[in-house]
Amino acid sequence: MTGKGSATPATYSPSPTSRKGKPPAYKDGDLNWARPDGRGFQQCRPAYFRTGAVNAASGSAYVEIGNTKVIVSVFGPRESKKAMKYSDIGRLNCNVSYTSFSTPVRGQQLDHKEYSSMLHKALEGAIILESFPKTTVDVFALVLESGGSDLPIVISCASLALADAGIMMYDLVASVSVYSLGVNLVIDPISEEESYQDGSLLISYMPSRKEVTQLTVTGEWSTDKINEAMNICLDACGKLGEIMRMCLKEAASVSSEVNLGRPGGRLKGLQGA
Amino acid sequence: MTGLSLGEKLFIQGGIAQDLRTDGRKRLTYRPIYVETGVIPQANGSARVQFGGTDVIASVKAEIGRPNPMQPDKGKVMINVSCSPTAAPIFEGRGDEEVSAELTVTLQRCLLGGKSGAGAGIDPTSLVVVEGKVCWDLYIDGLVISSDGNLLDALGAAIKAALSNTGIPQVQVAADASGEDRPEVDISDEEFLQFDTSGVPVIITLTKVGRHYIVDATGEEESQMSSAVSISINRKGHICGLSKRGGAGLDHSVILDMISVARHVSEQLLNKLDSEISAAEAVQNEL
Amino acid sequence: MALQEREEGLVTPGDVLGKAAEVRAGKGAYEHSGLVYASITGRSLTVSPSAESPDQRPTLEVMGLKAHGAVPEPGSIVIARVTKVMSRMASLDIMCVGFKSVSEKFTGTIRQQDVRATEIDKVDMHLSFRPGDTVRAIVLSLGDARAYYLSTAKNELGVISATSSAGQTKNELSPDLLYFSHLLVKSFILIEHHLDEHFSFESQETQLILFYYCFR
Repeated sequence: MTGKGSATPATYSPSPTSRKGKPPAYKDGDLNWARPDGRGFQQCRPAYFRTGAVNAASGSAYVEIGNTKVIVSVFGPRESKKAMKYSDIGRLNCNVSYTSFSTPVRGQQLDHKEYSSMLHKALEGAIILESFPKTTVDVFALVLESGGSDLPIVISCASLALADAGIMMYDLVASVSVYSLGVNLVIDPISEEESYQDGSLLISYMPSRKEVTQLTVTGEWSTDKINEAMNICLDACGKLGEIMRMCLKEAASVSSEVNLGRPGGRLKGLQGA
Repeated sequence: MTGLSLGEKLFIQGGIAQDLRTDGRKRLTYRPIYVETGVIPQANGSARVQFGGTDVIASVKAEIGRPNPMQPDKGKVMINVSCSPTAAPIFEGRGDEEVSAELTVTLQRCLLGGKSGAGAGIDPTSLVVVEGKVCWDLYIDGLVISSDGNLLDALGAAIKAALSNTGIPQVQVAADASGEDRPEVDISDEEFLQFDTSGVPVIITLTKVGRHYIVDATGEEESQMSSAVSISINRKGHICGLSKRGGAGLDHSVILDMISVARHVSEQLLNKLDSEISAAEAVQNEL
Repeated sequence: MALQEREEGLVTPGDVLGKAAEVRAGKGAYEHSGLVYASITGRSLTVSPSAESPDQRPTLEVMGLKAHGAVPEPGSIVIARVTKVMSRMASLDIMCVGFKSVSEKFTGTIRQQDVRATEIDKVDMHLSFRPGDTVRAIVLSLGDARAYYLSTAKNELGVISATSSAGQTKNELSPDLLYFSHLLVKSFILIEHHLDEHFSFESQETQLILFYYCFR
């Protein structure tokens, strides 16, 4: 068995050409720099969405955008924890966590405590909380691989998972971020670009209702630039929303084929009788 | 704030719609602002700011530290906010965690700028003593003593006042020691450097109640909000940070409109704050 | 019936279904600033109004392909199992809401005054319920932070199956096991619906209800 092919070494030795090569560093004032992955400044990475990734959950979704991979499960609506105060309307409980292998260096992931509350804020405006009084819907997001733009991807993925769970929503929530690097605006940034950013803008948007559920800006922006960045983001959110809708419809048409026109097929027959 | 009757709620909402709020203010008028500096002698700089019934303290402490190896030319600025149970009984124990964390994150976003340090209220490169080896770590702590709405703007103002009150001791690096890994530094007890605080932005929270938005909402008014947008704006009229609270969605044209209103209000607030801060400094120097 | 249903395509949350001036929002849809939107993923159907209805707009509904688990709401009829009996109240686990079995745990309480409609102060909780009894009840209110408030103070509500202390399933009527025959008809309907909703045959309730049905 061993040493059969000289091409395959018996023991593993890491390739000397490890990925040490730094991305072409962006320099101030340089207009013609290229993004590390060769994309255009206003070009998003290809997105892959799938619902029903976790069987045990009421609803779930898996999203892969570039190297960022996120899985979100939705549980409930279920009875609120005893410690919680009574509430007429439903509650949303969000949690975002990272796997220990999500970043190149194990356990290096930054402090993402605020992500849970930001996910909550981005979603709560889109959910019809009155439709599940007194109960709680839990949204658990897990970032399997962090490749940049983690939070917007988590938000989009969570909204898809909620739709998959059949939770009543006003609209899907699509989220996109833009970084300002010198004079350029780059959309859907990757991790390498994160350290160069002069400012960031994140929008969560209900594409059909045309309403912004969450907006955060850091860094210094002129009004014109904010305007431009928002328009770029909203446009991208609209397109992302379309992809999410397509994914939901695809999943729905597959499941209805399996169920032979369910649900209600037999019920209707009963009513007619 | 709970326990408002339907009549009271309608009264607040109706008043805002008619541009006459329950305390007689217009939609874009602030409550009286009171600033006191140097309230904490142990700190390098401190200030107490009151917006009506809201009372907050900010303190700035500087300590010698090592810069982050990723950013050797920058000092570190840490912001932390806590809410005292004296402000409201719900802050007792761990009850303030949620509110404090949200205020902390928003202040960080509004004052510290982007990852590269661009747009920060405090220039982090000014905190470096020896590049890559010695820098100042700035600990900014906010404390909410009494809460009657608009905590974020008050904390932003208090931090701005505390920073202009801050004196960083003059540091002498031993000339021959600059090659060492941990150079010896001599911290002066008498000579202090003042911060350039002209770039520190103010935070303006526009609270949307019904179809209108108001500045400096009281606790009662905040209970009626559908959403709120906090915008930090500097002297140049540039936006240094923005975050949205509240669940209800907003049309993006409304947000742009809010930004332009906030820019307009920011000029007045900056002028008002600057004059209050210099008045407070004058009082402090007299004592 | 003038009810007509017309099936249309697949919709997702946020899809615009029509103008509020022309259509009404039914189940799985909502109205916002003059438009009717879908709120769940599923097939949209148009239900024409009955002739005598004052509002002649057709109703747009979305039939969810996958609805979230049933949640008790005030007024819904639930099937629950008694877990604990105290002198003034009984605790129950809700198992079915309407015709749907719940996927999560929900706790309900029947207070002494909600057991029956008459002589409410003479109710002995321990004679009315025993742990393990299956009860049909109505949700009175969302209750407190802990439990939903349930009531059996109606003819068609009460214990629908119980086990005697010897372990035998009760055949006789206890004072609170009212209108037995009436129940059987209901049970029959219940079974029909349960089967339709993929109700598990292994479930003890289904078996018990079937048991009653068979011994009629």
